[in-house]
Amino acid sequence: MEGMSYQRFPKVKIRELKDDYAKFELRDTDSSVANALRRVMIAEVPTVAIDLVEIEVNSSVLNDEFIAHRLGLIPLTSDNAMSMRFSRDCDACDGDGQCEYCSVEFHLNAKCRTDQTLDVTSKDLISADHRVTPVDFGDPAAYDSGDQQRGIIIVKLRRGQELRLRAIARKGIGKDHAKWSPAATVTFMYEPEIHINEEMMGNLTLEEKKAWVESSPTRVFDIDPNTGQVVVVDREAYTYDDEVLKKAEAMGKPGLVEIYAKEDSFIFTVESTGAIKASQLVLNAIEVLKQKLDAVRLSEDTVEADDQFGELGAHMRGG
Amino acid sequence: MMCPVETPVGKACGPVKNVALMVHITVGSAPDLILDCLKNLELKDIEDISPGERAKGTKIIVNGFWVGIHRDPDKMVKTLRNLRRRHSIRNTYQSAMGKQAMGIYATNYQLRMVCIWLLFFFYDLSVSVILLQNAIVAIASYSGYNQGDSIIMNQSSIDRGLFRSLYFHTYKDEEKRMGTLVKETFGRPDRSNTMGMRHVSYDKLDDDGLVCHGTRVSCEDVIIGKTTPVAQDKAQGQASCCTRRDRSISLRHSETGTVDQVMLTTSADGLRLVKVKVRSVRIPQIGDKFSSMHGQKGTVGMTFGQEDMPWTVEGITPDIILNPHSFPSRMTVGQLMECIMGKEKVFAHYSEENEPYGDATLFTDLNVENIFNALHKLGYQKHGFETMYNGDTGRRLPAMIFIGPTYYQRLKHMAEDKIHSRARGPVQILTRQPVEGRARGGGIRFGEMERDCLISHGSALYLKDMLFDRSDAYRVHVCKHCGLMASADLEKNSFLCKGCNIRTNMVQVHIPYAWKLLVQELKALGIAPRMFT
Repeated sequence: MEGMSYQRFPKVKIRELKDDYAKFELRDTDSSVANALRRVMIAEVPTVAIDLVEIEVNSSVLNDEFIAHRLGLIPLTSDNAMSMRFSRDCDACDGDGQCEYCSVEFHLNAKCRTDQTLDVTSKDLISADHRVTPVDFGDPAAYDSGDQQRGIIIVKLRRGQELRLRAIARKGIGKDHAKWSPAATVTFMYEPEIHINEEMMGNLTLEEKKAWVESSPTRVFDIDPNTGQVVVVDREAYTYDDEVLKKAEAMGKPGLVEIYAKEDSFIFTVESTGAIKASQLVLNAIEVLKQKLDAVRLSEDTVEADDQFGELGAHMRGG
Repeated sequence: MMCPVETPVGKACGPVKNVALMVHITVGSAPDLILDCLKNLELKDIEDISPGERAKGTKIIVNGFWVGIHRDPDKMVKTLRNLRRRHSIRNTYQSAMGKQAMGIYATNYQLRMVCIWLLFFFYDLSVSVILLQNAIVAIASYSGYNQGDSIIMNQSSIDRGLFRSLYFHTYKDEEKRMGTLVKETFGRPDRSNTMGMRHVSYDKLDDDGLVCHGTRVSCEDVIIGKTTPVAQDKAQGQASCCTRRDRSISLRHSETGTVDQVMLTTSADGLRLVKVKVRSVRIPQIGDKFSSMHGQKGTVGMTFGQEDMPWTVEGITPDIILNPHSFPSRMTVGQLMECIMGKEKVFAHYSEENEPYGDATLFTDLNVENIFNALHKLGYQKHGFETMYNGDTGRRLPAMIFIGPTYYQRLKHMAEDKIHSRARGPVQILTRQPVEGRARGGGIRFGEMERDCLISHGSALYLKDMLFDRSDAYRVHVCKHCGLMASADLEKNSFLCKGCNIRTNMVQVHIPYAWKLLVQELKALGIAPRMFT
């Protein structure tokens, strides 16, 4: 077994990249790898989120726990979360939040002095560290139109009501609490392979073709207006719903089309909460995966542990 | 108000009447809706029929009035039957369950001092007083943690606030008058002059004997301090130091929370009255009970994070996974219809001109068939199924999963209020067996069937441990001569059988205290059960 290698060389092709959205292809690897990447993006890429709230004054209609929960769910810019420390591992502080390595302090001070309802939003949270601030969802175009973007509403205050608090944000992962998850949506699909039996399809009347094409809820197939041939317009629109297969069966034409899922190519869609960029989310996830593998990887001098790890040991030694 | 389906299940079965203070009692109701429906089913109105036609149809009578004729009454009745969408007993179950649901019945709940109150952080809909949330429900067999009416809930959704609720519990007490001169008083009991103080924390009380609002309180902390004066002659041995007796109220031992509000007022009798409202947040956890609006209740069997949940190609993970076996025998088609129609309404593009309508029944033209077509046009599998992927492996699930939004209510039965265990604790005075009940810190009954189980396993020693050593183990000395219990002084190592008047030939036996009790009671009846070893 020594020296035997299962190493593959996955390829990534980026299709679309925006700040909070990424779409890419992952090829030449297994579903286990694709799924590990998905799971890590959702649950194990660290971000910063409010974890401790000290309320000084709260005369609003919402109780303290309610406000603390809402504060926790506000996404904070977490570009430096990877290099921060978990407060449980931090030896520079005793977890009181005054430490520059593991926590960021926020202050909120709002009081309504007018008859108009005051919206307390994430913009009212004053951060002690300019790198960690509430995510700005403000559409730049909205500023010009005078429509003020006020961030995420925390609570509304009436005349005389007041909210004063100190909050401490810490590094964490989505597995511990969903507020630390940087991912809004992470999903992948198996690239489908669609084979139309041209001979059988050619024997169908135009009406039959039309009915068959329309049996798919998503627009996967269409009829070429010139040739009258059924063509695949968007195979990735296929959701593995089997509707076209059932329709073919119902028409008495089983085998009209054959659809397989490719086992080794995946199309990922990643949306971020804004805490980190979608592209960074993918990179961080790979980094976290590598760290996890490092934790189990065996060095050359622990070959004796092969009893325990067997084939895997050789594999992990870089075979 | 009387509901045709609401009834208690079982013994107290029968219609339920509720008469409110401002009730207006009606006799009968307008038949317009029924007439409209019948007209849609080809009823020929009495005004439109010619004398010759009468004989050709069957008379239709509504509320005692002849309204018209129908040519094909069989078909009409069949159609009417088809309008029913679920087993009516499910309506009955829902009527019973609605009473256990969390809800708002007054909007001033922040000020009210009601005994127990449950409330959602967020809700999507309220039907009269019941609060509902729109959960994304998948009907699937996944991981096996949703067998037999249990459900799997998405922990990430819970973290984000799904079914998070508030629990208010109000404690009250008053300064009762004892006799004409003596009166109880609120105040912090002082260990130096108060007797009967318990081994719990009195530190959270202010000088006035009440907790301050905003204080965190946990198991058995005293929240209302109250003492009564003790007459000096009654307080026997402790007369010198103790002038007062403790009558404080502490939190129930299983509860924790924050003091929300403290109210001090005067009761109708002119006595000082205090109410303390304690608030806690109830986050859904394993064992909590939830229900849809179709009598489909279930407890949480497991919570999974988003990454472990099955997902659709769009990245949707369900909030709740139900077991498919909950449906065939109960025939709650209504829930499936609610789900599929909800799904259509979620994705449909509605505007002011094109407002959502319909109820999935045959009464409107938005029936199930049309929902299928609408879903298909929106790009979804028309029966509401979706291909899903296993969260653990990333592989496609072999079956397609029915998934969509469904209203769910949270019921008041929560694991936190019921969880109980005991290692050691109080025993009954009479039998010296462990007491019963969670509130008293009692034992958990090891009943006949459990006993049978251990017998059939042949685990005799464990059985003895259960029923004897961990229950009411006791030891007596028996006179070998007469077989009756003798008195013993183990310190002096002296024994005496009063009947035989001998001091030797004794044997020590280990018996349950309950057996010792029975022997003594039989003796009192003139029966002498003798123990020979």
